[in-house]
Amino acid sequence: MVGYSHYLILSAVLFTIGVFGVLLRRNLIIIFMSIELMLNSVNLSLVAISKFTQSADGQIFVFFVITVAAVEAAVGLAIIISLFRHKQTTAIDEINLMKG
Amino acid sequence: MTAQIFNLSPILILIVTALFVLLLDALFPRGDKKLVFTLSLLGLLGSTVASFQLWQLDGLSLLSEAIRVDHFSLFFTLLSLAITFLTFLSAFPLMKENKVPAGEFSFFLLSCCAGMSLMAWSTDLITLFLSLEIMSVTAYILTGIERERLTSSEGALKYFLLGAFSTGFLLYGIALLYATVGSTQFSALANYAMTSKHSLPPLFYTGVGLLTVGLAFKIAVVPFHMWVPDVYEGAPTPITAFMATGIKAVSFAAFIRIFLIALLSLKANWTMILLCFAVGTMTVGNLAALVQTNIKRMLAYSSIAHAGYIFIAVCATTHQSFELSTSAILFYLIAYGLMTLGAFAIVTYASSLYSKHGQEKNMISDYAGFGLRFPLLGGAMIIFMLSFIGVPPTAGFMGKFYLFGSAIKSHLFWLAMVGILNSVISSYYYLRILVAFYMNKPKETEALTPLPLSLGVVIFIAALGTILIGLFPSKIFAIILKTVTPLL
Repeated sequence: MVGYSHYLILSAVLFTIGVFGVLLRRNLIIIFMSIELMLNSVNLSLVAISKFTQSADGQIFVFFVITVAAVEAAVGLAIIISLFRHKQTTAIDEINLMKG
Repeated sequence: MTAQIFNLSPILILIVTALFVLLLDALFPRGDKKLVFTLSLLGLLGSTVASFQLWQLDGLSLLSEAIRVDHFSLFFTLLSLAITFLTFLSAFPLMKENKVPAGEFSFFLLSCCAGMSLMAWSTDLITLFLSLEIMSVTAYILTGIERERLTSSEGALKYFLLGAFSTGFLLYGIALLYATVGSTQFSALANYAMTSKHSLPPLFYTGVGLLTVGLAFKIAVVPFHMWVPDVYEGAPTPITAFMATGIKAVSFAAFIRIFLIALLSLKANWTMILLCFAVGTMTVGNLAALVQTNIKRMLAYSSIAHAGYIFIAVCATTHQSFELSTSAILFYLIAYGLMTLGAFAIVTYASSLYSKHGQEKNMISDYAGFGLRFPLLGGAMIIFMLSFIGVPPTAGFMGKFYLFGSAIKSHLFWLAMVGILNSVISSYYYLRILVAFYMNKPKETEALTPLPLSLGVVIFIAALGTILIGLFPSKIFAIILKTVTPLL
């Protein structure tokens, strides 16, 4: 039987994978996908909490989170493209004009 | 329903103006930039009038406690409106030279202002998350709006990646709090924290911790400050000032609403962490600013340090000293906002003089003899720098006086001492700018562009405000005190 805690544990595992993806990978697109994974793991736990505590707030919140994730995708990809036009690369180590 | 719309009018006016300006620019792409600019200012004015209209209300929860209109939220709305107004004025020369697209710029700045106001209004974690995102996403775009300049895009990318990363933490924290409390309202959080004070589950603490990380990132508290120098250097200078003042201020508003109002009963459990934040933020910000050669980077580190000073009052907040400490925070946000906007307006003008071929030049050495060539601007810069250090009779001095005073009231003498020592350290790098202004010989005399009127207005307002608040602080402090007293 899959219970409440299973969902929360799965969500925590996915969130951790996302965090490590952001910290360890060096490609912009993959870092960006890891951030999306973090947001979606939260969605999973919100829906599970909402189901098991019988309150609708969580499910409504998920809609907002999906919207925000879409907005972030649009803006993030636009920024990546505008930078790609200058640099012709998506490797984060080469984007280092400012330092100090 | 109409009453609710009336109560929401400050934010609605901003959103409608933003959409209208964007449409206008899309329909008449060759139209006059001045029209877009004037309409945006009118929108800000309308929103200000609406906020003053609402000031008569005593505090009202709207939309099933998702937001709350009270003096505290209106205070931050007015502060955001004032900051946005001054940012518009400072950015007008950039719009006129077509460095930034006027329509988009106005749209994003007005939306960001709406998000900022909403953040101070929110009394529900969902509203908090949404307003934070409206504010952040528009700020990412504003950072990268000078697409021709590589540093602008690079700053936007760094801001976006780290901002979205921190949003993930904030969101996960909200989910954990929702799991333990069963509701996302601040009042439910407060009740939960009060009733089960001695048996709070670890999940609750994890949630509070993750929420702290998310907000600390926006305030740029050490160790979550790594993005600040790069983003502040890359962004167009008026936007840098906007982020340093506006976004920081409303993040403090949200911080106060959650941690100092709803969860005040738990504050004793994590005083240690807050003290580390305060001492670390002040010290790291000041020490890193000492070695900077770029004036924008230096002011970025100084803005980190100033967030640290504000955290002194956060540490000092208890049930007894709530009014005085939070008033000190609000007062400092006004003072810091004025001097920062003024200083960055001077930097905007100077970098427009020295920049060539689309590259910004903001080295402190470029400012050699600036004060001798422009006596009035030099005088204004002296006021701002002295105010940053905290020399009377400036707003910065009174702000620090209230902040450190709140620490002494709560018997945190050593913390006030650390703050004063840090101010002493900071005087080195602020005075270094003045040394460059007056003691060094100007390099060469080129053809000078005169100071744009709108920038002059910003510098004048900021300098006058800094002096007046420094001379007559008690009136403003009394209003702020009245603003925060009904909160607890």
